[in-house]
Amino acid sequence: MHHDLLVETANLTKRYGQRIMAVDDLNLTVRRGEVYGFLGPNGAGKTTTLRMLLGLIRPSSGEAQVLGEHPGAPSGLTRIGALVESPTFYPYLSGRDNLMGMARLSGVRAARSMVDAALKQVELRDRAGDRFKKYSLGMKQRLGVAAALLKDPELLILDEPTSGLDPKGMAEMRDLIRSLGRGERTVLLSSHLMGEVEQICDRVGVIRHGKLVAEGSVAELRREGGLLLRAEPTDKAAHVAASISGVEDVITTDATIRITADPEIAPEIARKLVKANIRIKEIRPSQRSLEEAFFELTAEEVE
Amino acid sequence: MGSSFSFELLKLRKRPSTWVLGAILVFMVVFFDYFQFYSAIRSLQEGGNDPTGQITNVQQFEEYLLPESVPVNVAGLLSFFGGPIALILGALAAGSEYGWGTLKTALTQRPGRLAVLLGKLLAVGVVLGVFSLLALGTGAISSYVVAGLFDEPVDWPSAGNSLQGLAIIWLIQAAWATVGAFLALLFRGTALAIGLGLVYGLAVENLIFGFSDQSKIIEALTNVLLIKNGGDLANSLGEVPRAFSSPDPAEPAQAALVLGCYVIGLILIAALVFRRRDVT
Repeated sequence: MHHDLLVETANLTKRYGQRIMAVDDLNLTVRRGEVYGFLGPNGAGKTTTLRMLLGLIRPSSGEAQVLGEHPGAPSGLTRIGALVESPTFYPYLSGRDNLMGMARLSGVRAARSMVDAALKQVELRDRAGDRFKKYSLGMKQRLGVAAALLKDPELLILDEPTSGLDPKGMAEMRDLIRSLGRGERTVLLSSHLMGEVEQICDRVGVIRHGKLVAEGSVAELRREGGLLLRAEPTDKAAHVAASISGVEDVITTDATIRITADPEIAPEIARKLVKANIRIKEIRPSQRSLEEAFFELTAEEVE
Repeated sequence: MGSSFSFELLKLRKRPSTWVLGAILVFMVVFFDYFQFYSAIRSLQEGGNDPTGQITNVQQFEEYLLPESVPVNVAGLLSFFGGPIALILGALAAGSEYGWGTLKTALTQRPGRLAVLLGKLLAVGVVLGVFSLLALGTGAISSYVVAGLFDEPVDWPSAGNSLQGLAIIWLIQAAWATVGAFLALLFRGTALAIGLGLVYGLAVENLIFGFSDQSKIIEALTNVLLIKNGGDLANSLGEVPRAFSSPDPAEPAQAALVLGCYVIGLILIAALVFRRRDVT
């Protein structure tokens, strides 16, 4: 395993019986220091993958290495903070007792001060003595993050951390994750919320039906491979553009011309337009939103 | 495993159901072991009936309620009634995690699956030790009161007999608790584990025992029953009234071995299951 890869899977597969393929030959890499967004629709296999990385589920085949260890190895788990699906703690224990218990299980030294620091970081110190069952969903989620932070982990694995939160809670959680991802710490974040991933993540992997269908930076995923042109007169510009070799399609919407072509031929298009006395206002590579990219990548194929 | 054990102990200590089970245990010792038989003896002495229907010899029963008989009396009761309490404790300790979803939280910390499981079972063992002491203590206080009411001298059991009683009560409860914990791990929850465990303990074992004279196979089967072996082991602590004695009691060592096999065997199978299974 390359020392800069904190998570690496090779043909990781999880099959339930003969019919259900939850994760299918997944090859995933998470690099040190990045915030990696693991995107996919509900039921795509995100949580199953994360559970396999944490040693909660045994893969049917394939391999995974997390921090250079086999998933679930105690020496690896001491360096991983995890929040898988909804945060679950002992309902009759207070938030502080729950964290103290987690600190004990993790072998955290100076547990009391680490618990205090974690509670402060997620702004739960005032309610730390309340029983977990009395916490709101947002507080439960923050306690889950606090538990994940106790070990001062190298790798944070967060599964849908904003799930169920109201808009304010989501914004707070996003800020928290962004601050946690600064510096050396690596974050692997699963989500199906595009805005969240677009704002937080450096790199993204998209999973569909258990298969990784795309992996790259947010900018790479958004790049459509086409050009946007605004020029006058619009009709003449569209006609000239369509005649250029390498242009596959030209669609005019109001004053904007969308050209399906390799962005590398933009200078050639500009030269031909100028030669035809067309005034160019703007020509640039077109970008789709991450949401559009996601829907395209995860769309069902229709026969 | 130490970290897991100390956290499990904290969880059991702070869990309301542990205290409720302890309170039920105390109530059972006071009521079923002392109050009902004291009332029945008094009733018989005053020319009335025996509402328990078990007193064949008043003098023998009176001695059974005095301080010297605390270990055999309390162990005898708990060999039957203590089982369900221990079974519920074991099932709750092992199975509630599935309902709360806390198993994944615990397992993504550090200790490893076997350490989590063994820490849990060890903590249950400690709580059962406290329960055993509590039962014997309650029996001692109750018998002291009864001795005063009967105007009998207070002779305490020997330290050896008391310690043996403590160990036997613990072993009987440990066997039941392991059954509860094993079923909870098997069914990944508490409801089915407690339901099936109680049906097995209170109905199936009694049915097998009831039909033991019908066939050699069923008779042989009684030798591995929890209630029979627990009862025979408890009765080895002293003189018991005829109503409580088994027609063909097992040797104490053999009964202890059977109960020990339940504990160790079920822990081994539970560890195997727990280690291999996915936590979803």
